[in-house]
Amino acid sequence: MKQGRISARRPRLIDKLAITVLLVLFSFSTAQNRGGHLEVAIAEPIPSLDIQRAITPGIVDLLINVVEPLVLKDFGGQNLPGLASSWEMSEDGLTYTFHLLEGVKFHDGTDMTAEDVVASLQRMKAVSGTSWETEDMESFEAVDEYTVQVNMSRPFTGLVDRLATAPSGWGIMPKEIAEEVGDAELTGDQVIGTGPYILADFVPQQSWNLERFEDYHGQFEGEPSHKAGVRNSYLDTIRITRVAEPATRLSGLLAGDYDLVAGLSSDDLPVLENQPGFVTNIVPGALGWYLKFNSIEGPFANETLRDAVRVSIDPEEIMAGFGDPRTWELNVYPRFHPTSPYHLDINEEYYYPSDVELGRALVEQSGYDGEPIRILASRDLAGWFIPAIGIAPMMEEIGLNVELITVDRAAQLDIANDTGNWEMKTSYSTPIRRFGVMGFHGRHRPGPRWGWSDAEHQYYEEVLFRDASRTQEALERLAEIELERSGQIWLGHSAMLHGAREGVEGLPYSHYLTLWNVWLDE
Amino acid sequence: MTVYIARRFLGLIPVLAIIAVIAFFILRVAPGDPTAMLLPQDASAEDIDRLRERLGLNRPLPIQFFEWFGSLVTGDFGISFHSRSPVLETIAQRVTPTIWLAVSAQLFAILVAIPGGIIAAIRQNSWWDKGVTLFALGGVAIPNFWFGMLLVMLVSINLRWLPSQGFVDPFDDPINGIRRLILPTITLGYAQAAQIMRMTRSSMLDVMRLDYVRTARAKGLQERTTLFRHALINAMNPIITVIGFSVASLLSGAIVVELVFNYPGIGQLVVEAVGRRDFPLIQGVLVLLAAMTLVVNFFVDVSYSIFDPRIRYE
Repeated sequence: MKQGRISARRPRLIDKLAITVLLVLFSFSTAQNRGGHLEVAIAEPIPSLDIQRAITPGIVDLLINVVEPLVLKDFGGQNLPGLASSWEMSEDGLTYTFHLLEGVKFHDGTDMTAEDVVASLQRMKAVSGTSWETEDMESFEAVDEYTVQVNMSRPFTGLVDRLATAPSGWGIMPKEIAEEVGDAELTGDQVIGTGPYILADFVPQQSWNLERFEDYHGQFEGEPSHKAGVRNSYLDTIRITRVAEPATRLSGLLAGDYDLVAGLSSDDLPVLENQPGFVTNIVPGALGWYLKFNSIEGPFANETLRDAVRVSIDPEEIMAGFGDPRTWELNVYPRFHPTSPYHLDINEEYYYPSDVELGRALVEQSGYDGEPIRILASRDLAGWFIPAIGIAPMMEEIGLNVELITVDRAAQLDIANDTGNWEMKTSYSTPIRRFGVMGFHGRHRPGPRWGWSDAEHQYYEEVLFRDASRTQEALERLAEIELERSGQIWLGHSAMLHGAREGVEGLPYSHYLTLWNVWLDE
Repeated sequence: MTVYIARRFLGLIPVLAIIAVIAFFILRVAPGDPTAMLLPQDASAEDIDRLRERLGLNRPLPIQFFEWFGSLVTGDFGISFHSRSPVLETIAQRVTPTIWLAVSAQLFAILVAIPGGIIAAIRQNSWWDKGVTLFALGGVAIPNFWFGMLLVMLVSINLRWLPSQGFVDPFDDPINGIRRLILPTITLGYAQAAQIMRMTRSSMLDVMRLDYVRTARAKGLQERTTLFRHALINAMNPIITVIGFSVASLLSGAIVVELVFNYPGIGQLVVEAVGRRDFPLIQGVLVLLAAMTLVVNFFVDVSYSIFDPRIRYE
């Protein structure tokens, strides 16, 4: 274990109790009104409506209200019944059987059966942009009208988690649509799901109108949490408008053009709180931020130099760049949020001591010769540049020659593809969506494995994917390795912020724009 | 004259072709892979390769160019990488709001600037003149986005007189449409008005010092006739030149104004397309905007002879 990483300072985490209270506050009561129209502004673009190809948060925000998957994930990361009321995995991990809800209607009035699920999963496999998610799903069978069997090409214990966490949510559509559209692009009139709202019409890339689905099955149970729990459709109609500029979203809310705005910035909080008639909704743990070292080539291939940075930086000062302290929290291992059952209590020895003198000594010891340290960041989202801006002067303070490269997201991704282009970059993980096996499964793609040995890969292949009972053990081992290797500077989580006018109740307690329990108190 | 106009018009074609070449290759040189914006971060190399193949990005650049250019001359602008819908269709959806904004802003600018410039010129060094100069300086100095935000804060948030954003076609809903057009029009038109006003003032001052204006006055013509039939008409050519040039700045200014007012025009479209590296869409918009600018300037050139009979094109 490395010395010099021990600190008495504990990271400030959102109290689990506060989360529970919030959940209760946001949970539904019996006094909800039915009816009314809601104007919503969202930040993310929705360039396409093909949920099965979709990767942008905007598409998920819109269609999560329209299309439903087999399995739902709650805020704590548990997989709960969705259109599949129950499921089981064969002992060899090669076969999954899903039992479907009965009496579920699609928006076109037809009943959902196993045939629809099979056709939807087949299309997903055909068009998904991430083949590693689907390649081991060998075949799908309709065992009877309400039972579907998924046959795997290799044992895998994480399929249910995958179905619940994939960005598209593996939405189920009618067989006729899935077969008709094939691998072409799903158009707006083909977006037919089983969700509480129907996509009625839309102006491409501008606004989307939803209408209540009167025949909604309403069979999901439990406290509303993230994607899971009871779903209602209180509102008659909803219009979702894409508003790119943050200041424009806020002014739209203040001027009364919108009732609810998703994706506010931290700076907007005091503005709304100082105005009568508005409420804010802070959903913690949206994204877990870290700075990744290029440990493959360049100066940071030297572990001592990586340690020099780790021991000298002050993560609290870096995260303070996110603004209002309610919108961020420190977490020395933000792969899992404290609300996740997989959250790990990290030993204090991994906390950053913020010891600049020690950092300087380690720089000296590493033999660093003044090579430029290029920190690659994107200016498109605060989280992509705040950590970079925060850490740069701290690294300069210990004698590193830092060069900050800020480009747009597309350029950042392109530049980052070549490890010869950067020494450090900002990155994030999505603590709920990809908790557990998802993130590790992604590592099976070809390319640099960032120091993961074949033996470690084999371990995860065997333990994480084949023996669900050892998941916690595997995750702890993973955390230990990741923290030991100093491959990243782990920072903490940023929150998702919503703002609304007073009278908009049941605001989503989710990082997605789940509108099914929103109602108007007027 | 006809021969000149035809020759001048034909001259637009190679200019447009050069712009198309630049638009195509500059995007390929700039960093940013379109597939990175279409796939999740954890997509495999095979997934990326398959997508590049589907989008035609794996073929040699000259082949990509000639295919795109060949389609362009037949009016096919290609398919958007992201929405998978025809580029021309996407542009058509966004061009109507931009035309409304550009035309209304230009009209606002002309209606404010030309009378303002004339008043400033005929009352040189008066408080009117100083007021007009201050107005013009403000228009040049104040950034569009800031002015737009101030208007939103005052008119939409505090006074609640007008909506803060969005577009409704005035042909579909005249009252709502015009209400939503007012703030973007003023924001975009102010900077244009400032430039035109300064040019009108100085051009009028130049002309009013010339002998024929003095002669017109000396022979007892009404001041209004002197101003409008003799002075203004001869001062128009520089003003028209500024108006012509301002079309380009109007379109670029629209990008900022459209963002501030969430106005779904070409400006917003191109900003988003650039961010996503949607090559066919960016190329299509650039070629179309260039064509619009060239055509407007062509008409400006031709119009010189209408205001100044001495100009004859051979």
